[in-house]
Amino acid sequence: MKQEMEFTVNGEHYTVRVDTRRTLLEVLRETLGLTGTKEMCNKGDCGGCTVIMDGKPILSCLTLAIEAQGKEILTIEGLADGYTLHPIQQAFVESGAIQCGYCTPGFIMSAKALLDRNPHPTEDQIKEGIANNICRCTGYVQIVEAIQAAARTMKRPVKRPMKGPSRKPGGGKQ
Amino acid sequence: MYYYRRLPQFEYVAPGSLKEAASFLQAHPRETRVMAGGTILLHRMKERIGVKKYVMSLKAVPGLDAIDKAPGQVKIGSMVTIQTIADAPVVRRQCGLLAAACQMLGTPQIRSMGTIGGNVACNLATAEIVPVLIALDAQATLAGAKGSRTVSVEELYREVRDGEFVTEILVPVKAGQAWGYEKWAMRKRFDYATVSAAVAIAGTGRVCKDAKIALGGVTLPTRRARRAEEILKGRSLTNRLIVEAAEAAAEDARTGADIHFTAEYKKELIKVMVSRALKQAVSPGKEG
Repeated sequence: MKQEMEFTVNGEHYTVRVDTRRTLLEVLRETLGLTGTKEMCNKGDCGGCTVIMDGKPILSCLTLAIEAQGKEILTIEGLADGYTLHPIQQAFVESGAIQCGYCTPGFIMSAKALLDRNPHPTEDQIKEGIANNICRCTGYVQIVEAIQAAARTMKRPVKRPMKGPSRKPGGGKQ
Repeated sequence: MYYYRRLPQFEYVAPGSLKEAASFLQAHPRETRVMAGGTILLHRMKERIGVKKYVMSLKAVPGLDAIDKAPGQVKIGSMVTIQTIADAPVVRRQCGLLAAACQMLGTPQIRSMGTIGGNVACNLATAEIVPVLIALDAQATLAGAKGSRTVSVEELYREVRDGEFVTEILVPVKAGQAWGYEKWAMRKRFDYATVSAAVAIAGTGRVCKDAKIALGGVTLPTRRARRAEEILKGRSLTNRLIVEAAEAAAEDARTGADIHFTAEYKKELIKVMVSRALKQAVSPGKEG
């Protein structure tokens, strides 16, 4: 059964017809073409599909797309400002917190949700904040360091407003 | 165990009012799964466990996502997320045990998605909030086609009938209640509690007037450690007495082996968790 729904992804308004048994992850990747959000375990264990919905980190593989009706979604594609990376992304690059990169979008979205809630987390709070994310190559030391570095960078007043990308994400409106 | 990447075929229903939800459930009681946060239900549906014709979501029902302070109790709507409860000033102030247990449940993502109603209604031994609510003497409001009624959380699974669903949790606020909560999980900040212990103690100083001890990770029917509670009542909570009560709780608890642990090992864990939770309760600053 298909239903029409409206929601905002990275500041862009979308109206799509979705099968009510599709997950938000499937609609983001397959309908909107936003493949930055990764499908990994698809059962809520790995955190690779983490996106931010109305300011809170959620697992898009365990969310029905239809339940995102009227919500504001932020995915990894919505962080960079054109070609300027978000401070968390930049910190991941500089700290060597990326190896194969597949878990990275999930980690960065978890880190974003954590730093929005708690701009000065302790190391333990960072580990707690990324507890739902699994990385099988880099290990977690560099990832924790990256989030600490991002917290330091973001503490300084940055003039750049946080907004969606100036380029349109793939897929476009339907 | 099979795991499918896509959800199976089902029909999604999202009633816009309590009345509508109750009448839909009344019409299709055995063909419907009620969905709150969806973290448990959708996961199980991908495993093809318990798939039914309809999924009735409570997301569109107004009024189920509020926390209200009423005289002598805190009312928590069934659709309030675990993280919202952990953060709510009124819960932290009045029901410290519940706030602490919510903050220790799952991960940030699961806490942002999962709801108290879902945790209570799922009827799984791993539900971490249920023992906490039992220790706190909480009640649940059930809505059905014939109106709503209130039952204690402890009796919920015996009481709930086809066509009923949880709409609200009522947590009594008791002055001078000391509490303790301990959870043991393989990965502390990720996994379900293998076992957990929630204790609420009423009394002055170290003398215990009344005690409630409820366990997580034990097989139903009961989660209460009644004999351990009796051991504590009217006595001074010395370390020796705490050990005696913890041993009684472990002895009486029904545990089952799982892929990681034997039933006996879980009993050992219960002993440790109960004694730690009791020690927490008698340590200063644990009232409220």
